[in-house]
Amino acid sequence: MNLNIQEHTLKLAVLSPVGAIDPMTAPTLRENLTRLLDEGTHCLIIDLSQVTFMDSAGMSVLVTALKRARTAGGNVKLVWPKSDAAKRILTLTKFDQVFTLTQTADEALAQWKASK
Amino acid sequence: MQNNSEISLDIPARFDQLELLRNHIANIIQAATPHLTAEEVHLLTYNTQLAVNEIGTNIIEHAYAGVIDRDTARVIIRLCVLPSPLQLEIQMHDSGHSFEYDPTCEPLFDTIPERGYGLFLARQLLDHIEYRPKPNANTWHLIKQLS
Repeated sequence: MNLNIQEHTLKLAVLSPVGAIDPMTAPTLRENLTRLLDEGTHCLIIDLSQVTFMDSAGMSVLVTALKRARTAGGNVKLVWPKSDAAKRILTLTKFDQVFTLTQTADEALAQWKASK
Repeated sequence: MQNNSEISLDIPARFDQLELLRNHIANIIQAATPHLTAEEVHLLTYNTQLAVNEIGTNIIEHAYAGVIDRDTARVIIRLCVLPSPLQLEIQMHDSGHSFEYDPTCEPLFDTIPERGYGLFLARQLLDHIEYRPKPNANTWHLIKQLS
């Protein structure tokens, strides 16, 4: 009998920023995403459900991470923010067409597990 | 100067001042819109905060590009609630570099751009946006309807 076994371990991280993502706080998010991507974690879930405000500085961080992750064969999934106002911004900027968005981090995790 | 319908601010051109500005916007909109539901006030507040935050970021990053002493680089802001129709008028003055504002410029969405969302969002979220460049005296004039 020939038995070929391929084991795959998915390196995945869930980041859950809390509060505002603006030019003061976006660098911290960027540093953490850069570190994770440098370490080979290319499947990332960014849970925006506790984000109260996000401006273009935060959006720039998300897009940079998305591009790096996809280049490495991974992806970045977002959890929708809670407020309708914040959701509308993601629609206005077409982030809803670029990112996979889920209602919860668990839902994003389940999608990844199902696709393995 | 501060009251329920007018706030004047003179702040250093630093990112840590943006939260203060957002808080003032929330307060003045809250006071001016007792006729609206909490959800409507939240939407108005969020959109106005984001738009003004983006203009503030633009001033800090571009008008005062290269300026080391951020305490002497100032942004003068006046928030004023105007009646009939009820609206918030925002004027933001800086004495930094002028730039060529293109009111039609949009991010190249097909390329998934990393930058260029700020002024696009400001235009989408405000009812009026005008930039008046002058040597060492640039002004943004913004309007958000509150009804």
